[in-house]
Amino acid sequence: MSEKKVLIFNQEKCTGCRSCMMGCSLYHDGVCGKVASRVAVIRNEVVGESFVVGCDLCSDAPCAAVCPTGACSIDPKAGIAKINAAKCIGCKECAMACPFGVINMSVKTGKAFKCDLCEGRSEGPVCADWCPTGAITYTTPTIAFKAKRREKLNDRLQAAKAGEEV
Amino acid sequence: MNGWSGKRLRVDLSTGKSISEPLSYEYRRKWIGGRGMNSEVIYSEVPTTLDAFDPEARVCFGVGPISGTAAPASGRVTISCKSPLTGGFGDSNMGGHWGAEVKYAGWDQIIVQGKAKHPVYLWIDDENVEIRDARHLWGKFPREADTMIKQELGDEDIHIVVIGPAGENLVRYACTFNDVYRAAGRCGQGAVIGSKNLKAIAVRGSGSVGIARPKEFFDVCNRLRQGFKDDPMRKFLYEVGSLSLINVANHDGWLGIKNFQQGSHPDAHLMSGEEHATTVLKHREGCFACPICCGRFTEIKEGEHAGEYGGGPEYEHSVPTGPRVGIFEPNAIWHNMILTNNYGLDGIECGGSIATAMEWYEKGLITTKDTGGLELEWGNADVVAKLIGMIAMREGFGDILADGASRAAERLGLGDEGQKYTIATRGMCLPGDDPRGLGFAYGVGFAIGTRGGCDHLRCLASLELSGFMYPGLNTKILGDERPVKPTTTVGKGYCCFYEENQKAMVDCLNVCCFTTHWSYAVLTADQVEYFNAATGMDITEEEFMEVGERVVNIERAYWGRMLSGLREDTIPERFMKEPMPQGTPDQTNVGATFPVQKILPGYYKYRDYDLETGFPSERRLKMLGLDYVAKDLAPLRAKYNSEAEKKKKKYYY
Amino acid sequence: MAVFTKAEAKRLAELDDYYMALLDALKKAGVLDDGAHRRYMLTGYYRLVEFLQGKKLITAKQAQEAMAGGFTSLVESLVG
Repeated sequence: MSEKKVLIFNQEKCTGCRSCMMGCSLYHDGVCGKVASRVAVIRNEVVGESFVVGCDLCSDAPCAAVCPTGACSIDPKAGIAKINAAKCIGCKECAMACPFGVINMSVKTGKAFKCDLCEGRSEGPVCADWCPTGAITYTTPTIAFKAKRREKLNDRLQAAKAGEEV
Repeated sequence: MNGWSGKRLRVDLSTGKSISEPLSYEYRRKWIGGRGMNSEVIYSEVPTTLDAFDPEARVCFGVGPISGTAAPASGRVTISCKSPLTGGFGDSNMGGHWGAEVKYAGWDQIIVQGKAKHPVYLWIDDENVEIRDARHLWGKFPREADTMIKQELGDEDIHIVVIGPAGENLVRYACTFNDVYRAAGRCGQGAVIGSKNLKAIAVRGSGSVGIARPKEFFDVCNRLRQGFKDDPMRKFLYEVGSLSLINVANHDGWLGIKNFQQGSHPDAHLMSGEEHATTVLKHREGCFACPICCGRFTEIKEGEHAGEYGGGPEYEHSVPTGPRVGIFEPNAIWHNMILTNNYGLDGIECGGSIATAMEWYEKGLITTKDTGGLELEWGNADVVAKLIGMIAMREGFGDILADGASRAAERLGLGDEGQKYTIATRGMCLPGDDPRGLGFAYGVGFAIGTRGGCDHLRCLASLELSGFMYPGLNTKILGDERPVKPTTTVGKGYCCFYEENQKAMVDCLNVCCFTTHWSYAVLTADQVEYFNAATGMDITEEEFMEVGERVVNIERAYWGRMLSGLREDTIPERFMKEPMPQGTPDQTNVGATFPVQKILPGYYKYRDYDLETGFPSERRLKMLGLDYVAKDLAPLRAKYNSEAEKKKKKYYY
Repeated sequence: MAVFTKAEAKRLAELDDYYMALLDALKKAGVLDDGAHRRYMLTGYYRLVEFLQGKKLITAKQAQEAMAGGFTSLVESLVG
């Protein structure tokens, strides 16, 4: 079985533009709004920092574990937690249990909603597709971590080289 | 409702009352939003005779029908008022995330009028509006006020518009910020806001923007965003920001050095975006829903200013307080940028006023007796930094420069000789680009700009500026490839007309110029497409551009009511008469001048401006559904050409 | 279709402000009415070319050439 792709969030590259949030809310709900997005951007404007947080697709997902009705459960096919709105009673347990705070409650229906990797979109999740800087990528962990290793190594090599020249 | 929220908020600070006003279908279709609706309000509600600081003056914050949506860079805000700097029509525009938040709170426009008894700030939490005490925030820098308000309201994710001490002190070119560093710089809205005792407007929105045809809207936005991925201009702007222009400007000789006495300098590359990115760049910043992210965040690492930080730089902000005053040392320039941001000053007018004073000093029109002992020598970074603070606090010589270069000349009694060096039109200093090298259509924008000596974004003639990166584009729109050459007179009249209307629409929708006609991933037809998909309307490209024309005309008519027209459509003599000197060996525009009067007649033809007065013609105004404007101007046409008026030299209003 | 004479074509090509002259000439020749004149002033050259092609005043090939070569090649197609 081939390795499944996941969302990788690279905070260093996030500019805080919220393109991801707009793509997410528009694709899923047909509206544009921060409150309707499954991915979130947190901005600390004064010091010029931005962070993007989205579902990290836990394999042993706390959101599914705490759900009292089984509305939030691991989809065996996709291997990620999904929320069945019909079964959701709006108790917010999953939102509270999520270690990253990325489960939202719908302003309209009061039910929980979360990332589903834009199920059915052939180009993959919109957030990664629309991210202008590569802060969100959609790839397999193996590929992502290989790239990370190489990047870190290059940084170290460059630092060492710069040291020699000085 | 889709696209629009369908209502605007009007707050009267004198009475403390706020009301919600519905925006009819016809009104929305006629003015679209943002700059369009703002300009209509200013024209209709602010008499030209009213002082800009009168409590009855309005300040309008406008967002558009696609603000806060997935459309590229849809978070901008237009702030309009009667400008205390020029005395005429004024507006300015900023990025950031505040505009989107206003939409989520359910508003298309916020109009503030009246004057509070003591400093206050507005807290707009969806439909709930509260006027709160801001006495403890008065005098604070934007970053302090922003932090304090967020703590006070217990929500760090809200977005706040705020002014700095310069606005409180009524510096005529005080700017307005949102998200701490995103500034609406020009025309002095910050001072008008300050004159109302208003420090900030904090907004939280829990709503979403409705989309009429979501699938279609998604597909358009998706297509446009894919287009940005390969766009050469996007890459440039993301990697090195708008300071990527420095090396280009220096090569083509349009950098505006020493108050435009030079266009190129061997040390200019030190402040280029390329250098900045490898030295003091801390982070790249994105305004709302932007596919480009040209924003920068700087942290100075070395020298006497080490440890200072802040948003920016940006080309137009940093050139006036850098090369324009003869400074090339980058850390001094970043320091000035941080200072102007902290105090809340428009960097362009601030640098322009100081540069003008430096030239007066150089030419012997003023001495240290006038300046209170300050030696205004080119490149004196200490004096410039000191003056920035003095201007913001209206201390000593700074108090004079706080009125802008044109008014300062008057206050100092320098007469026409002094005005010669202000490098301003209609009372506003030009940004840091010399039309002798940058482009003739762009330069015409300085002469006809409806907010005065601007503008770099008003009539941003991108077809001539960035057109070279997109072969065939000039032909597509203008019918010929020759206008792509910046310094030709061919096709420039039409280029100005088209781009001015197009940019007016960019501001009505409140998207960013850089994502439309500049990087060219989004053309006018694309804008019509996303506008229609979001709002559910089906307007044509013709109607779309006609709205732009209407907006330009009503703004122009506001100036007409102040008896400003054809004779004032000019640029500083320096550009027409002084050939560009050589600054660097490979500078390309040595010896050039800018024949603005050769291009203007062509431009008037498209506008159908009255050739006697330069006012919008009755015929065109009626065509645009502005009969009431035509009626206002009718008695003024003869008055403008009276002998008494002809003799007047108007440097500001 | 013959809209321009050779002399007119030459005159247009030499003008700084060729676009309004082109629109005016097309109006004078009865190709554009007031509404169309205004429409293509607002929306630009490529819309004008589309219109002329739609009216079968120029062929698809001529329209393509007009887009590649600009207004001088459009005018050439309309010289009689």
